[in-house]
Amino acid sequence: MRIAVIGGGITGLSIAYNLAVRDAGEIHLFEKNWITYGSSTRSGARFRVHFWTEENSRFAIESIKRLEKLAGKMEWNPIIYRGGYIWLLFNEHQIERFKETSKMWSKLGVQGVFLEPEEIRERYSYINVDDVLGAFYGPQDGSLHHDYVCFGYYSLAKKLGVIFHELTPINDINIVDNKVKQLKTLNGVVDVDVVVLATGAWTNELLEKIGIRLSTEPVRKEVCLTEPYHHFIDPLIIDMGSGAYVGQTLKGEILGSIDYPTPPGLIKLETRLEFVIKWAKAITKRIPSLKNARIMRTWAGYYMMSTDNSHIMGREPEWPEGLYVAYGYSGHGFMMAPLVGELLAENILTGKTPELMRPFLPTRFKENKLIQEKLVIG
Amino acid sequence: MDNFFNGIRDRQGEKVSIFYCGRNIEGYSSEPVSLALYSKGYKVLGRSKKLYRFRGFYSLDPQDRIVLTKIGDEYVNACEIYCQDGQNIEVDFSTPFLVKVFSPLLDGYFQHRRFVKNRILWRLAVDKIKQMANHPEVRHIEARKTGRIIRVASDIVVVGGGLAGLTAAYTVSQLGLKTLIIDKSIELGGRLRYDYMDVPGVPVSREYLLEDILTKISSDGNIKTLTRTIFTGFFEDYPTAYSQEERTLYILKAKGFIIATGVVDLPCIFRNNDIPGIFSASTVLEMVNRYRVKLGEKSLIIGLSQNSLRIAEQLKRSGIDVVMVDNSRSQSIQSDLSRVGECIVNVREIEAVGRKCVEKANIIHDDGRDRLEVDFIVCSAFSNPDILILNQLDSRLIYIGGVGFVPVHDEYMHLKDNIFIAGGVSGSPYSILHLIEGEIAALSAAYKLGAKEVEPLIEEKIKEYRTKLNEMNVKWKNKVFRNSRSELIENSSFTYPPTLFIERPRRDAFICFCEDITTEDISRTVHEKGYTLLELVKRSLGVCTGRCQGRLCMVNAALYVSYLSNLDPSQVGLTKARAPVTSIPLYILAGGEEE
Ligand SMILES: Cc1cc2nc3c(=O)[nH]c(=O)nc-3n(C[C@H](O)[C@H](O)[C@H](O)COP(=O)(O)OP(=O)(O)OC[C@H]3O[C@@H](n4cnc5c(N)ncnc54)[C@H](O)[C@@H]3O)c2cc1C
Repeated sequence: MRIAVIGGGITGLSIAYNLAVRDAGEIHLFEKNWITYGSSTRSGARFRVHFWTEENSRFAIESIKRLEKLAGKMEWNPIIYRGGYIWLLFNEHQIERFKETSKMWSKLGVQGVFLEPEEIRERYSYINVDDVLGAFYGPQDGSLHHDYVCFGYYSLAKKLGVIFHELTPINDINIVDNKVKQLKTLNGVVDVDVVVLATGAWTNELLEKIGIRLSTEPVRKEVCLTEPYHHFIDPLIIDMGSGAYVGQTLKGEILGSIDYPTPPGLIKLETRLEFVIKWAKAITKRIPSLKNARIMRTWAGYYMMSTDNSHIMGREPEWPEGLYVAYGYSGHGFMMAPLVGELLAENILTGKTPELMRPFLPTRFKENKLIQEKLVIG
Repeated sequence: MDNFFNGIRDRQGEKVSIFYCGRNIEGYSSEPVSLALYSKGYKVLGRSKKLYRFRGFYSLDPQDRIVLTKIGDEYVNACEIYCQDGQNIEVDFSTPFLVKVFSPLLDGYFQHRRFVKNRILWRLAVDKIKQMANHPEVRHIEARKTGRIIRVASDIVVVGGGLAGLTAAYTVSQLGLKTLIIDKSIELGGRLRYDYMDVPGVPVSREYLLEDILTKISSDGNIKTLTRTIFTGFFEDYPTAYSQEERTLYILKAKGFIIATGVVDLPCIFRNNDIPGIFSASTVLEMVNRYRVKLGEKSLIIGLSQNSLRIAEQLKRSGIDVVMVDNSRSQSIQSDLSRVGECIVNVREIEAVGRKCVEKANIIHDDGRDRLEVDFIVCSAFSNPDILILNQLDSRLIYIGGVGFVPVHDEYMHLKDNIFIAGGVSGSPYSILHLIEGEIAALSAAYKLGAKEVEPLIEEKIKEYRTKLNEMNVKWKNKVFRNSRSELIENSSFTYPPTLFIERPRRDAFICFCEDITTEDISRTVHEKGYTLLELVKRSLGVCTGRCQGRLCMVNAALYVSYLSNLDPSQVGLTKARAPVTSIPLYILAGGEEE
């Protein structure tokens, strides 16, 4: 069998690796630029197991487990570090909502800790809690090194014989008798039996060419990074008041972002001063000592938003045979990709839909079985 | 003024008393702290991030933020801060015990190790690692400071106040357009200020040229200047500039931009090229001529070029012995060498020797080995156009052997949209070309803004430009112009990196000073991991991600990767620079806008 994975981000790499490990046949990966060009190395590089919905929480828990297991096999250290997430809460409603969901998290074995303002101050003396009503702390959450995780998968896949085609954009997919037949590249066509779209924010361009529409749209998100400082912020801090988040990388840089209105679509990956100013204001209010920090760089990437803020994986029965997708992560895809790769590989090879994957099928939109994830960060 | 032009100026400014690790030192209020300390023999300004190596300053440029030094309660770039009475400078000379134990984990390669398969061990290790990097602490002291944001409008903004920029600004303003000059230095003039030799091809003396242009600029009501202000790049919504001195971020509003940022003297790559006492070529001239600081008795100049000869000659004039070395023999230059000093060619490897700063240099060459006593080393092998802003702007950059990565522009000095370039940043050698380019860029920008009457003038200037390019044998510019008219970029060919002075990858020959990345690190990434695109080398090692934003390391890294992998430098490519190209403190951004 000849399988083509399109997209060299974490999703494509994870799928290619998982297919290769299962001896799936001849596996090709096509990437229009270079491996990791897309959102995968523009992310905040954090993972969490705390989502409003059980489906997502469960998926994330298993996904991180997969990555940790794989870490020992990889040539690159994924630098997994559980520094925790802390959500600062500003009203009763927010606290209620976390308390409510906390039952589900406890059931899944990832209970967190509720903190009073005093306790926040004790643990994190640098956080200004004057207007904070409380916080939820998730110790199971943390960070990873997005480049090294991608490179880790890449080298494993390469060793297992995956054939990589960098600088090779796929322009179209030829369908014959409702079966995927060929991929169109600049240099001609490639025959294929299975095509997996792991093309992140660029997926709709390809899907629309073959007449498929899913309710997803890319939204540009900007990020700020400061010069490196002595390590002092362990968790990712999410300010549920201003919509800002901030954390510190193991290299010492302070990284963060804030919700800022942006029209949807594949707009140029540039950053705005207005955005930087908004973040600077919010974050120096929350952590006054950061006033001294200097912003060194900003960049942008796309969140691929789906209507229910959850990823889409697999296929619909009516689609051309051999066509699969894995995208629409809505801003938390890096952490999900290790499991997405594994489950999708199984699904492709056995035709069975693993239980964890079922809620994320693309058919959910037609069947109106949306996941209703609302805990999106940034 | 007169004194200055005679070149016999004394150190200027008030005498002040500053303290280095408790010792009382005399400095001058007109000098950066780094320079005052160096002149008294206190050369170590800080320690490097991972390996805790002793570091001084490589250049006086405020954008080259390699080392931060604790002055008072703040960690700052000691080249940006001027001496003030009572200043306290602290350097921590102790090396944490664990660094030695963990150094194999801390070097550029620690991330790649598979040593941590055990989750508990990894947790302990990662806790150590994150505490061990030598970074300043962010503290509350800045809370008392307030910054501000100001909008400034002008017809044209000129970035860089050297020969090209000043000529452009004056030409623009003569056409009745409002002009704003932004320069990071304390005074306008650029290289004219500190390179005391005449500008090649210009019929008047350097002194006259400088005085003339400065007088014109200062008496012109259409021109405003912002000195000690760094242009920080084009955000999507606004172009910006930042002044540390004024604690101000400027939001610029202009109809056109002329970028005249000159060149960056690249650090040379040799053993211990990171220790104090190794300087960029222009910084040496600045220190010797403009600041009149005694740098030592003996110097080693790396690189044999017209530029090196100018430096050698000026060092000689101020009584410093010079030895020049290079890895190849250039016939054209051979003739006037005897005038300036000893010269060693066909050099294979250079090693700086010294515990805390340069004391000696070992030179290995085809005919054997020399050991020289030197007080400082000058990196003068290669200068690349200062392309940081243009790279951030996504302009096309092509590699031209012997010139470097050059922004693609046409003979109208047009880059893209409403942006024009002139001078060293366009790749032209320091000469009358900078002057002509300044004029052309100005006229073209004015034309773009609607001054259609300048068209015949532009054509005339371009004729003159073409003649001078021919006269000065700058043939490669035609390739650049040609490329500006087509989408395709012509390939360049592989060239030996002009800054490379090691025989094989070395753990003590650095490419990136901010992140402590060595030639050995890069070689392992290229050879073991197979990454040859600079974007991927960056992601694997962190090269170009430090405080200098790749200003000093990007081109060296690209050329070194290209050398190791036998690829053409344009296949290796550069990495994308992003706004702000120089860091801006959060308190300034959070300070809010003033009218
Ligand atoms: C600012 C920001 C912060 C984020 N923070 C986090 C976080 O903290 N944690 C987390 O888990 N997630 C985070 N994410 C989300 C995460 O980055 C993405 O969900 C994830 O990287 C998606 O990976 P991917 O492989 O599906 O897509 P991508 O990494 O975007 O890869 C898609 C690849 O496909 C290629 N491609 C596209 N079209 C074609 C074609 N036609 N032919 C060939 N190749 C093609 C692209 O070049 C690209 O390399 C963040 C995202 C952003 C933008």
